[in-house]
Amino acid sequence: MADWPLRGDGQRFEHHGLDLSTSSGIDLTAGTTKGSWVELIDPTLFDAQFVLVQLGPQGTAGRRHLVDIAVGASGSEQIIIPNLFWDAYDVRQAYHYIFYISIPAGSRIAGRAQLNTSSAIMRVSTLLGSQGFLPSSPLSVVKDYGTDLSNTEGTTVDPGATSNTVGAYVELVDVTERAISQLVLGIGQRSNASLTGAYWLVDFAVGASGSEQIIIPRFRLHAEPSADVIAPLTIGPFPVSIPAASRLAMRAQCSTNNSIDRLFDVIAYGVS
Amino acid sequence: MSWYAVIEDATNRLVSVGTVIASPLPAGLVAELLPSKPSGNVMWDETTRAFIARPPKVLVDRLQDLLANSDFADVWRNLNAARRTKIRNALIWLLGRARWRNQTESSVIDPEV
Repeated sequence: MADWPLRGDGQRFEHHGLDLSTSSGIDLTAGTTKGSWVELIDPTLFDAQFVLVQLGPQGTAGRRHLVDIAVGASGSEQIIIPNLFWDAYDVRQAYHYIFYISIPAGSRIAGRAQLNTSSAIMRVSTLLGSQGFLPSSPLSVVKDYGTDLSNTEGTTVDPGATSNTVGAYVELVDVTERAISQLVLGIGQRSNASLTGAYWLVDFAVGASGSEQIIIPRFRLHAEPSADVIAPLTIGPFPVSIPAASRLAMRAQCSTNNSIDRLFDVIAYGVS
Repeated sequence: MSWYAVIEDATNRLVSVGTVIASPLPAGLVAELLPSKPSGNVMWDETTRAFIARPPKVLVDRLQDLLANSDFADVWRNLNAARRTKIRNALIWLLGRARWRNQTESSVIDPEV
């Protein structure tokens, strides 16, 4: 895995986008289309090869969000991480996304968001990290797959009508734009406000319909009924080697066959 | 972009949904053209070998659970309509989203294990 650091020495971390008066992140005000950019930090203090984006908690319950992270001067922001999924059925749900991408020192980082209905305030922050001596070659591009921008949601995965039996693959994308070295997943519960207790086994695959090849087998999700949330909400990064122009797909099996409670949705983030 | 359902021909089991179909398909699988990309509001039906509307979720009202509690029912029976309405409104305010539960969920909110 040449893109991963050989050594973990001399690492440095700094957190940006914090509001010390609330011990939380910076507020982003969002509507049903992407809102204005809000500055998280200007400038960054060191060359970073790692970013942790923390979304929530705080916001309005029952809202789904898509968050862009960009670098660049005000008015010329360039998106580096698109459409981070935050399905905040419960405002306590916090999504933490990790990406090993390069952000040069002196950068301005900003965020903006959209949500599925009306408007709300949500919180976001970014924690940057640098590698020590002999850093590996950093990745630089994040691309989202499976995003439904018009409905502010991911691609629905249906485990099917027979419990504990694997369901059909659903396509996230027919052709990836680039080769993918790392994969991160954001999981949503389709605004299901009253989940039954359930467990899932989920496969991530590449390949054409009918000849999918599983590359990440049977990672687990679970739902606890009293909290009505699926966990975990973010998974990865997985080290992968997916060629450009690949079809990405997922399937699952679930312990419940309830036609609503067995569903979840997902957005995959390919890092190149 | 055309969407297809890849189906196990002998059982009508849905194997995959997508726009890129393996050529040739493995033995026993067939691809059927779909009118559009299936949304989360439909689900596969093996009997009809088609996508059908997903039935809505049935939720249980915890106010009904409360009326099934004998102690509460004893008090409730002795209230006039106006007082019942006031108590009902107060309970709706207090319960919030917890008013509606899944059919398999406990009547008790966050029960002790």
